Amino acid sequence: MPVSTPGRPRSASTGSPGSRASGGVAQPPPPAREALDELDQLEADVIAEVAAIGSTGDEARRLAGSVRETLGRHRRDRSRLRRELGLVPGLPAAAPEERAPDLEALRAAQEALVFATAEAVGRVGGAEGGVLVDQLRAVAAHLAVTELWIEREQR
Amino acid sequence: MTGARRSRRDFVLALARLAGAAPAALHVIGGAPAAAGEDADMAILYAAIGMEQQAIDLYERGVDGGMFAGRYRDLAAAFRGDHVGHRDTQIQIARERGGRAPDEERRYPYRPRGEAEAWIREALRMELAAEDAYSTVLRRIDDADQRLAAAYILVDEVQHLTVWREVLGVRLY
Repeated sequence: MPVSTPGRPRSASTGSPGSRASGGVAQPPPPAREALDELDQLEADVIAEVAAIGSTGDEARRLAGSVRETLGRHRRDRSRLRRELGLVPGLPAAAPEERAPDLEALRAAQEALVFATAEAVGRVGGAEGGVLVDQLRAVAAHLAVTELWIEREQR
Repeated sequence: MTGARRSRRDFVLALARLAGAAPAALHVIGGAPAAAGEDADMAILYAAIGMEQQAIDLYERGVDGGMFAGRYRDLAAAFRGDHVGHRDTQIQIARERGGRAPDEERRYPYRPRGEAEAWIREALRMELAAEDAYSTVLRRIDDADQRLAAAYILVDEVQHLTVWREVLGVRLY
């Protein structure tokens, strides 16, 4: 089967930078904030991978441009969502690290982002969560495109 | 709402009605404001189970009738398996909440006319309806576990949709 059916993800909270001291006692971050922080991190990973792939040809450049544009919009929408939920702003987006083109690494980064977005949809309900539902559709479609690309290269 | 969007929503509602969706679920799937709560969540769950059964039926008939050939047959069989998983997950959730999954098996109400491409187009139309329905109800489900399950199902629906779009030569990006 060329398109993998996502299984249950690993814990979305692993390695999250959410914990911070308050009055000398470490407080776990609120779930919504933790989920949004993780999306910021995983998105940066996808952007770094897709930037590397974008240097490999015209089709790749078009795909990379489309993914970057969409993810940039997602970040802005999540900033708005943070404000609506009364959460602290996320860290500013860092410049993408330079990496070697690697379709499988891109696929893995996209899959992690898809799983984390699904988890975030589970945590943030109501009208506010609608933003994340739209983001989930978009990142799932990006993942499917990369999987089709890998499958095409293997044929 | 644009004409295309309205016609897509009408199609989703038609499928949901034929899947046996209760009025509370139809309101939510139709995008109307609806009272949230346990009863509405359960109605949505039953509607989703009925729609998953329709998807299983479409792929089953297409595969068994030899309408999907070669690679497309493998895809249709895999997607059928995904929909079986979606149905069973939601039946499990319904049972955990003290509900009783609908007994009646729901058939996909439309039969594509023609050969393989017509079946792929119908599968695309059905997957689009499923994506639309899950995207809409995800905004209304109160229960976090049910929402999480629906989010993972939505990922599958988007993947199916993307694959059929690629097969039909629709530009993806």
